[in-house]
Amino acid sequence: MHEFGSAFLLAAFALFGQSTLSGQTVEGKQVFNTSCAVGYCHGLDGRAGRGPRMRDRAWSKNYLYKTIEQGIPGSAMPAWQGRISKEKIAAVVSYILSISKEQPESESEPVHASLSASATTDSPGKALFFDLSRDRNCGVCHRVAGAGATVAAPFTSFQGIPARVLLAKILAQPTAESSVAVRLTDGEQFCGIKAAADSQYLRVYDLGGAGPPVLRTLVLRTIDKQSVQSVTPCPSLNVHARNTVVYSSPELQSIVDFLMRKSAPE
Amino acid sequence: MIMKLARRTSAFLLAIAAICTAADMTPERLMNAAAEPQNWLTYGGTYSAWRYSALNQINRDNVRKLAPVWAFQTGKAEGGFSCTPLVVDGIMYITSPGNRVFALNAVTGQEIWHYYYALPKTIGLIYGPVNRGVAMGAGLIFMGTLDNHLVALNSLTGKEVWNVDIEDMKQCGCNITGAPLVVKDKVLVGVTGGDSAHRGYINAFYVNTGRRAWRFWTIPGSNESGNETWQSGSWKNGGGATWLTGSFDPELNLIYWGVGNPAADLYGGARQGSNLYTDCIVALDADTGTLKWHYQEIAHDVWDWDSAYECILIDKVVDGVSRKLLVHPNKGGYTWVLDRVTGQFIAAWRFGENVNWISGIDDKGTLLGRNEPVKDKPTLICPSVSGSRSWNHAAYSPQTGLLYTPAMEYCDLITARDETPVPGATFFGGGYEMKRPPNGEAGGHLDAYDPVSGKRQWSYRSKYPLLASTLATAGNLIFCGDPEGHFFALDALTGEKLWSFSTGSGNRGSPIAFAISGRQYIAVPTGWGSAVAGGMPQIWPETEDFPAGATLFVFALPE
Repeated sequence: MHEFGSAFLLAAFALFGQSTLSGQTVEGKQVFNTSCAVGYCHGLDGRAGRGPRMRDRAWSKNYLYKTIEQGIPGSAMPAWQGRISKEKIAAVVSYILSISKEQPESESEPVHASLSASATTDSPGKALFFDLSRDRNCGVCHRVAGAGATVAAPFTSFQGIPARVLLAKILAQPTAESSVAVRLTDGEQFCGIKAAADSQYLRVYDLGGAGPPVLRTLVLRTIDKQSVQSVTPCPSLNVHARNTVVYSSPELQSIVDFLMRKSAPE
Repeated sequence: MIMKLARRTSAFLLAIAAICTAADMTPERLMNAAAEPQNWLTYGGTYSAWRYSALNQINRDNVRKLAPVWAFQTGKAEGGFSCTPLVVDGIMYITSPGNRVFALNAVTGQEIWHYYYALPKTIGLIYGPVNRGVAMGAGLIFMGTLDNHLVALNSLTGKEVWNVDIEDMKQCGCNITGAPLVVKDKVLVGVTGGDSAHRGYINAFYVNTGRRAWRFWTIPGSNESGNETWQSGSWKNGGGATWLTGSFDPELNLIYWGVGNPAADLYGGARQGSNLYTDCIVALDADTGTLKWHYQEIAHDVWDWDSAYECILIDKVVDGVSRKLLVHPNKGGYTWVLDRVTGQFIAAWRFGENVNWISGIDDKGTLLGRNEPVKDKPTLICPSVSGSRSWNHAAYSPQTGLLYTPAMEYCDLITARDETPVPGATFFGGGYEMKRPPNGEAGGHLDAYDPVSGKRQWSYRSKYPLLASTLATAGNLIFCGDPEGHFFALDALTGEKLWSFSTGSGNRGSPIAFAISGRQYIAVPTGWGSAVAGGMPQIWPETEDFPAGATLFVFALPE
């Protein structure tokens, strides 16, 4: 009885282990084919595309995990951390190993996610912040949550700031300490935000057009006059004045909610 | 006699070359680019996108003597060297993958300046590191970037003059790989993103300031006409990329641009409707960007066919009437012929040999016998999602009156899938596995056609798909290159191969012709890579080991 019980337990463990592995691999295949094989990337079942062939090759488990999590800088391979859960990354690694050429003993065990985390969810406020169909959306100047331009100085932490104060900031004239008014020798005049300067060039974000700010590199000898400028005489600098036109009240509230949740500055 | 005539024409053309040495590129020069055959001033050679050179010093009789005179290394081998070089007054401008720009002495290959765009650490987009070239105008050189900026450089120094961030690439899942187009006082540029949850556009910026002049959304907004062709809400993530370069008719003041596929590419169940203006040719007022007409080649595309390829502008007599035509090869294996004044359908003819997504197109332009991918079930579709041709462009020779286009033959087993769009993320709607055609050879070919009737005059066969653009010259030559690295010249009248040079890496770029001080040159970027090249091992396993490269070769006849 005792022996039978042990044998039963071992069989059950083997079965359980087996089904856990294949379950992870099955999930990994599903994630792979909907996230990695898409477009022109790694091809269905890892048969190659713009990205390299994944099947029938020898891979290190750690390399796969790290590359999927962090991406390859300067390439088309994105970082998946934060886009899909760590469990799903582990499942994809397990699946790739299952279609690999060589699978050493140590690599055949289930892949464990180092930490459990869920994919980030986007809020309506984030979509509004970056909504390109609105010509003066927040993202053309501000960077938050890893996206957006860096025309404006980076946000400080929003922790502890009441929502109404944040809303008031969104509607108030921006504090443009580095604003500058420029007149060029060809007669063109505009206001903008100073980005950088050296002995030859002045770099200014031109806010005068309807579209996104333009980072202009001006040769100093083509500048007739430049002056530090407050926003008052230069309407193009008061970009927040249009926020109540660009967004409705509930939309602005959504944006505030989105920003409040960003506890850490970029 | 022919030789004598050729020599006389050359002498005449070279005399013109000596006159045109203006430092600044004016709108007039760009509009009359055909009068400066010694230069290659716009992406397609001229605004009509013929990829034709009127130079004939190198011709059918002497091309066998063609030899390299210099080579230039960009140092960026990944992704495929895919640009169209521009040449003006002895200076050549090229781009490499990774947004490098080089200004070269076009006689010696000596670098004059280079500009390496500062890319962010991570790109992480599915559209690759490729760049197809620059545009020039008003003393500036313009390039779109892999993080969706447009930059303007001083053409003499390579210093950045302005830089505009069009839309955050992480937010839109889009960027720029195509060459911009300068039209009068504006520079126009499209965008990728057709395989992402994104809404496409064409932007026009003033050349001098970088300020945006207008923007054309390729998908109408919620209160605009055409929005009703999208199932509720699907328009917001509907694709409609404009990832290549348009054409311009100065007389009609119209810009023509091909719009890409709707997203999700392979599953249309959540975007019922015709999905305007995806898979359309749009004609826009060059000054305002206002839509003048559109013609949708494929309503409710579920095959990722795009209509993004070049718009070739040809004037021809059709049925006794002189017509201004727009000839447009489509990824699905058909070439559409439209009246470019009105957008009226004239004809559509097939250049792909293995095509089963439709059974044909009637004389009104209606698609017959649609064979659509099925949700969660594999369906064999020919051609593959890479198309009967990739983006690599066709050429038109006014001398022969023929259109020359590469083509490729393979299919896909496609499984459509209902996916949830996430803004900025890939939104393809299915997967595919490449297959050999069931009733034909897998491979490539380069063919000569009557551009209106589609009557094939000859066909040059290639073991592998041809992924390099074609160049037609007045020397009655057609230049192209293959994946094994052979850059070759065919007789424009017969398709006979007259010359070939082994460049050492597969050809994925666009050759051009130019002349300096009485000597004609042919330039070609060589270097294997890109999405379509990357997928080829599924059918041709040996291509996985084909070497990448980053070399621009320039050829001429011995002095």
